[in-house]
Amino acid sequence: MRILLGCDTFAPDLNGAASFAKRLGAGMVQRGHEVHVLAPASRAHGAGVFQEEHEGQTLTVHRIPSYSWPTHPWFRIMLPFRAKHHARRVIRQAKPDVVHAQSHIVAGRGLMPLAKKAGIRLAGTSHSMPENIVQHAPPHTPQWFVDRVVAGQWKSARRLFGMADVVTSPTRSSAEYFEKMTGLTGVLPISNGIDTSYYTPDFGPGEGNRIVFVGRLDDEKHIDELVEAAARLDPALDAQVDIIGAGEAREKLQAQARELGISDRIHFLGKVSDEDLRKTLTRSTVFAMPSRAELQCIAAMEAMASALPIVAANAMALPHLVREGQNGHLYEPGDIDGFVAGLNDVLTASRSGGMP
Amino acid sequence: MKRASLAIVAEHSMSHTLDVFEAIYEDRPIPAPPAIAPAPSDVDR
Repeated sequence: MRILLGCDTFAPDLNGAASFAKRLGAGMVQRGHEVHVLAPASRAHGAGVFQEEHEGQTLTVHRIPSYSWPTHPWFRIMLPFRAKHHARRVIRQAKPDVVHAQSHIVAGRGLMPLAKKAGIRLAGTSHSMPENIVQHAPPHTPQWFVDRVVAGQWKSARRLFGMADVVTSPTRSSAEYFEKMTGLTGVLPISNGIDTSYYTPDFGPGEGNRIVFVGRLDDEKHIDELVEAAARLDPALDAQVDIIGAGEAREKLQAQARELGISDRIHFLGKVSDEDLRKTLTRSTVFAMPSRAELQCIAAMEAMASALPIVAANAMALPHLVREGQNGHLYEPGDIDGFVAGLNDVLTASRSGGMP
Repeated sequence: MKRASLAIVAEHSMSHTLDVFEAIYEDRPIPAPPAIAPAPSDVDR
């Protein structure tokens, strides 16, 4: 079978949607299918058709001309008004039996109507909420304009995903939210999935108390709550915080750590290789996720595959992964005391050897 | 808590996700999810 994945973000981007598309594509190649990917070029003048290796498999990636998003450190966008032009060309080259759009914003906008018209089987997966995307609107954009863009994006999602034979979203809560906002029905909750064999649990005493966060350093992740919580932990715990990921909030977070006098305990590791990520997870004591907008937190799943307890905000889809008191704790978003209590419980249990 | 994390994440096997999307692509019935992991015992917490 020839499968065409339509992506607005794809490797080397680091985010849930990009990781999922990469793993889905590689997994399908491993099963004997031919996989094509329509995705933005990862740099200026990087357009073309390439045989790219991802997760040990070869995918044919049709890189479309893309442009830096002015208020985002790495995101590149394909021009929406050229979406159909490029989609038509890629469909002609790839001759897919099925098109699977990972977004309706640009890739889906081009691919979905063409696939529908040509009678090609069409699947769509919703990975993001327009409310999150508009957080990267230029500064001083009037709120009324932001609201109109969000409403327009949900309307567009309804029109485009409404063409699909099957629509999925990674969790039950994200599927229900998508149905509520679009009026579509029958959205299937299908997990992004994880291959746990890549990760190494460590049931030993570990290297002291290490809290780890993995994700983009964006305001929407509320990492400032983690820095604040770290400052309020009992100093006797000697908790070190490893923050993996890059983003525009880094300087602000570093300043916050300095102000709180805990710069020596907050370690900004930046983007790291898959191997280093797995090593860091293995040596950690607990994974912390203060974000309130996770449709499915792949980073938390990676941490769980490394046998880490999770302390996370009780928001969106995180409660699907965290069962209170069983594999960690949930705290109400913004409740720093609750966040501290959750971390404290896990770290204390770890120190006393009560967490096999 | 460590073993509970492992048990819960086992419900999200990539292999099952691929089975599901393969079925969707081929317009076949969607396969049943993997068996739910047993709840961790107190010792595991």
